[in-house]
Amino acid sequence: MSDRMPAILRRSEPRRARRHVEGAGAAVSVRGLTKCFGETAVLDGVDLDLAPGEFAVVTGPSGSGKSTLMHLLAALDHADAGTIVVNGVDVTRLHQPTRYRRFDIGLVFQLHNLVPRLTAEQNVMMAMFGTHLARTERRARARHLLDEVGLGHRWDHKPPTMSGGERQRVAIARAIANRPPVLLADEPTGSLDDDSAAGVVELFARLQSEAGVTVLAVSHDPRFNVGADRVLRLAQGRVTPLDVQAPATRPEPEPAAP
Amino acid sequence: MTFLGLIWHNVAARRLRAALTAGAVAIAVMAVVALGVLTSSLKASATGILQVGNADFSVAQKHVDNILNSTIAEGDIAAMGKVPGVQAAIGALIELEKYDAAHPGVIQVGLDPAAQRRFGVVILEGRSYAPRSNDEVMLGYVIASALHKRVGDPFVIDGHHYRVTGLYRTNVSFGNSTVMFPLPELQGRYQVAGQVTLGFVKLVPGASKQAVRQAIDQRFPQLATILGEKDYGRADQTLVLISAANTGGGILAAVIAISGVLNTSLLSFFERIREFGVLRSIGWSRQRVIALVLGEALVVSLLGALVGLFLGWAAINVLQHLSQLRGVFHPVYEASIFSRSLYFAFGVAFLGALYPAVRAAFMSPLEALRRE
Ligand SMILES: Nc1ncnc2c1ncn2[C@@H]1O[C@H](COP(=O)(O)OP(=O)(O)O)[C@@H](O)[C@H]1O
Ligand SMILES: [Mg+2]
Repeated sequence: MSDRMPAILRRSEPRRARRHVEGAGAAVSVRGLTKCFGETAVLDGVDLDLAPGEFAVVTGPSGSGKSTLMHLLAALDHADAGTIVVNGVDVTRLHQPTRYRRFDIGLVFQLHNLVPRLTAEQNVMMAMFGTHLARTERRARARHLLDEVGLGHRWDHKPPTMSGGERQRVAIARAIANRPPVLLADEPTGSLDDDSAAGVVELFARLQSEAGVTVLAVSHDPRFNVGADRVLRLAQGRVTPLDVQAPATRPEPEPAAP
Repeated sequence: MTFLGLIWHNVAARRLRAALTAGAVAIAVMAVVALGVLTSSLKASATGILQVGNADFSVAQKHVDNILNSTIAEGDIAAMGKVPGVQAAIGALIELEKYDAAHPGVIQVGLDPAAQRRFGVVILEGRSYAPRSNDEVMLGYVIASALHKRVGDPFVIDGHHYRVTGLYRTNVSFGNSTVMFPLPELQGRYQVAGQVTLGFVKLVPGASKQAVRQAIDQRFPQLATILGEKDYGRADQTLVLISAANTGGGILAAVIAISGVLNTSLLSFFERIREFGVLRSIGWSRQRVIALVLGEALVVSLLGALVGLFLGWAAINVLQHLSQLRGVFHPVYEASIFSRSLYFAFGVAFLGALYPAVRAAFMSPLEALRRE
């Protein structure tokens, strides 16, 4: 089982127990990651490092393995070789990924994947079951998060009555509900119109700059290339830098602050 | 929103389906309640007479289809009284007779006046009948008031005329609705001279019940000693059949209810595969997914049980007022019928929703997310 501390403690006294893990200083550290489907190695020795508070985007042609990489990072699938360390957690050796998925990462899909019969607020609260928060705290936090993503006024609307961009923003609020230090997004603007997509990209940039969240997004969307610190390219099973937007001279960001 | 609130919300979101499933559970619970009350009522009527005897145990003829058809020779009762450890053995003749349309099954007891006290009979008013009288009778106070009879009134049954000499009560309420005759008079009317229906054995203080029962069982192989409810079957085959019918009906009802819940849970599982995948990927544990699916089934099942309890009660009331059963069927509502319905609802929800719950919890979240 896990020897990890409850979320509340973890924020004030971060990750001491896991310091021995290699790559613990980085928010995301991927080494030699390999994943095969049948004979083809979709990922063939991927190396990737993200500093805490960094915003990186991975581009690449369709079918290049971007989603596969995301699934491995989210502990939704098992790698054939290599290691993944996220927020000090050795993901490739995780037996019970529940707490990891709940507290260490936030996951945003291409489709919003909200529960259609629940309100925006209730959808955000879905992520907070199993935490130590009382019901009123969960509620207050859900409202606050919806405020943050610009949907405070639509908290009691259900997904079918919202626009694509609004739904995706609810999904982002749900992803950051437990204040994960790392946010993973798989084509988050892939099914949005231009304006909504721009809003979502801007939201990721704000989460990074204001809350110090490490963001790793997978996307073709050129808008991300402007917002991100680093743009990478996944092709032939490997990740290579595509472009360096800004030199790594940012001040040391706060770790995922409340 | 609490977890319970979420469960309730999910059930309410599919109101019609929940109502149909709850309906299936309700019908099953109704059957369980009605059968259960009917069975315990019939048992109580059939065996109540055994409890009136105020004895350590009763004796009846073995393997009769109905305990009232039992026959024991008075000589055997006398011999039983001399078995070591026995303080007294009393024989009573029991015969059912129609009084009028409203009282089609009056229980007549033939008993010697000397045995009355031992039998637990307390005379409330008047006096006992004389031992060999052919025109005197005593009434239990409950039936006396139902028939508007007082001491000194005439009492006619089966064309025979008697006069009420006294009213009595017994230590078991069942006995208060019986009518008591001098033993030879009742034997004469039914042409069973020298015979009784049941024996009631009282032990000397400190004697071993088990040892005396064994001695009597050995010495009188045609008779069966009856101590508790589980022994009733030794004498009365009808009770065994009724109990078996009750069990069978209960199992059938459970199968219907479980199929209903399974059907609904599976349907909802297939519709929500993607949702379960999302929940797992945002950090829900397997246990929580199982709790959600089982919880939703349990809420539906409990609602059904509630309705079923009411329907069962209504069904019993209808049965009670059927002209064929009037006066024969006195419903016995045991408190256990409520807890049994509750267990039934829990069991049905668990068995019906376990498979979908486990599938939802153990499927790969990735595969679930790929579903449309
Ligand atoms: N479960 C799977 N089984 C077999 N092949 C798969 C599976 N998942 C993905 N693939 C294959 O792996 C390759 C990469 O897929 P994916 O990671 O979805 O690419 P991207 O997200 O970059 O479009 C594709 O060729 C796809 O067909
Ligand atoms: Mg993809």
